[in-house]
Amino acid sequence: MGLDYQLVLWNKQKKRYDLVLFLFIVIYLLGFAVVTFTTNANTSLETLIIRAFGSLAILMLHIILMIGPLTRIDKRFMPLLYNRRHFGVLMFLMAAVHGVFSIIQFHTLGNVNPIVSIFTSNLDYNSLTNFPFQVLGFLALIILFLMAATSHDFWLANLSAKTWKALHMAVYLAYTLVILHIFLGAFQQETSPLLLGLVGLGATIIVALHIFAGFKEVKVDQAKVSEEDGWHYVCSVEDIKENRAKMTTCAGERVAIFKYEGKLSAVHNVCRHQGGPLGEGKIVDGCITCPWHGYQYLPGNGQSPPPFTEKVETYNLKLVGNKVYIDPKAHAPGTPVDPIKI
Amino acid sequence: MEKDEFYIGYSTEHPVKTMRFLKFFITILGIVVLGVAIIFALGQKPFKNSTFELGSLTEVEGVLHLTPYPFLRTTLADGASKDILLLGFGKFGATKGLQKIFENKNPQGMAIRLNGTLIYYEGKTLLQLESDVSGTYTLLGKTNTVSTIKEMGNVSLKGEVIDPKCYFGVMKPAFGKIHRSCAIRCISGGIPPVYVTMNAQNEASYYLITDEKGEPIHDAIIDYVGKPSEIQGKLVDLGDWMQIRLNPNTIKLIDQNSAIY
Ligand code: HEM
Ligand code: FES
Repeated sequence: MGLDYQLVLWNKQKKRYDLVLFLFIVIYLLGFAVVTFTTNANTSLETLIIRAFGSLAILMLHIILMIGPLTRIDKRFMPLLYNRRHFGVLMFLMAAVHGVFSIIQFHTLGNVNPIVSIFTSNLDYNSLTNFPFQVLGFLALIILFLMAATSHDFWLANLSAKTWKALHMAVYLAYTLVILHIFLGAFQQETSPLLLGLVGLGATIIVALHIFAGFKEVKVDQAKVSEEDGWHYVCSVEDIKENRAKMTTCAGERVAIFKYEGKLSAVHNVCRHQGGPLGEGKIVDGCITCPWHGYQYLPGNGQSPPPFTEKVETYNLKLVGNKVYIDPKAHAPGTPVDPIKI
Repeated sequence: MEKDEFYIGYSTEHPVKTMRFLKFFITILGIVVLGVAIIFALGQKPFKNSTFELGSLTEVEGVLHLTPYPFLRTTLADGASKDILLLGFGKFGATKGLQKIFENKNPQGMAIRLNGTLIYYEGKTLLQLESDVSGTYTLLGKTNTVSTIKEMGNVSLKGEVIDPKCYFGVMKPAFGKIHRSCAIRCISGGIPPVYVTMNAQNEASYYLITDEKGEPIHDAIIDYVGKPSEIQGKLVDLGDWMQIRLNPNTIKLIDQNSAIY
């Protein structure tokens, strides 16, 4: 599907997704403002904006980071992944309102450049309690900006999937910086246990979900492979559901073995679009369909149907009785391999 | 056999059970979002009722004094006098604005009517000059000023260095860790540093900080801004404000949270 980074286009589903996001943002900001004005009316408008948008951004970041592991734990979360980039860009915008307002409020109209001031006003870099926490927020915002700016598939196509993926893994760095930004910053002074408890709980949920989902995958990677003349044993035919795949690991690479129309075919597990797990996809209209954004590949040769040009590696399989074996040597992407008949 | 549901974003067919499940999940998520907003809002410490009359100019009339920092001595209706600390626009002191008004003349003792933005809290009043002072003042002639300074002897105090512009109105909270960067900008830009102490009854006292000779200090005190500290120095009663004269190198930082909440 390569001609066309536009392929993942606007559709009803995406509009609904965006509408829900928009609604959540309004609910949050209104909720924060109404509660602050009714219980703590001496606030200043600037502080209200800085705090409402800062706390909204961190909440959104938590939800975004939860979607990944949730989809690996339960496939029904998959639609949340589909339009996650809008979620990410909106989160960046919320964080940017917070950051820009903070810079205007605390650093403009002074005797040095505002950006220089972020780094040089508080110089206690060697103290934890006095640490210049705004620097951490600033670095996080830069990372989030780079991610938002390159989130379009245009960049994916032009940066190579590996670079893009690496860039987008930096969200974990940004998350760590933000958590430090809060705990070394606002929470040194705004010490309510409500706040500390809430953000602590959020971070715990993120870590726990990732560990839990990670375990599920490690199990696939470490499943014992027994060898026979260089062929790896995978499973028996009955272990694979019709139109679905079984994943295995060959020479450190994950491979997906699909069963369909009484045949078996094996392809490399990694979707050429954004690295989605093809093995969690399904055969739809005769094509392996990626669970993330629906890119498609023909099981017999690992190629996207024309006019698209994506290709993934293919593998040889053999059947002994009802036992499925795979040759761990990958063929070049797009190499036709005859499916084996069951 | 159970239907093997599979979601494809661009397809118009949507797996029914998945969508039902998600509707439930998103409803719960909406409640969580509102809950988090409420918790974040309730978790904030109480704000002070300090005021910055942003966008509205007030005319005040009084006599200019320059030491230790520029202020305007005004006379209230009951005959008492009130000293209004003068500040520049943004994160600057009043010096530049006054220079523009008086060029090379000495403003000490000059009676003036001045338009600016009021900042006030707990009986203290400050006035921000406009960024362009031209047309905001009327000079009313020179007066003779009598010194009202009373030296009160040595004291030691526990509290925090703040920038009075933000503290008495412009920002909230305007002390401690959150505000330190900004206070550093303000004080290094010429806004007079102020020391705040808090007694057991939670009543605050304020002191304009100067060096031992009573001269203004700015950069020398930067390392101590927004951190709890102990200071020793000479107390001076200026009339409406107190002044503390100290050697900044003798300030001792205390390792604890800001105590002026
Ligand atoms: C240029 C970048 C940034 C600057 C200058 C900055 C500055 C600040 C400041 C001054 C505070 C304390 C505000 C107060 O409590 O009154 C704060 C708090 C906070 N910041 Fe940032 N920040 C930046 C980036 C970020 C980013 C990227 C995030 C999250 C995605 C974030 C999340 C938060 C949160 C959750 C708080 C605590 C709640 C609050 O007080 O607003 N900040 N930040
Ligand atoms: S379709 Fe986007 S990762 Fe496969």
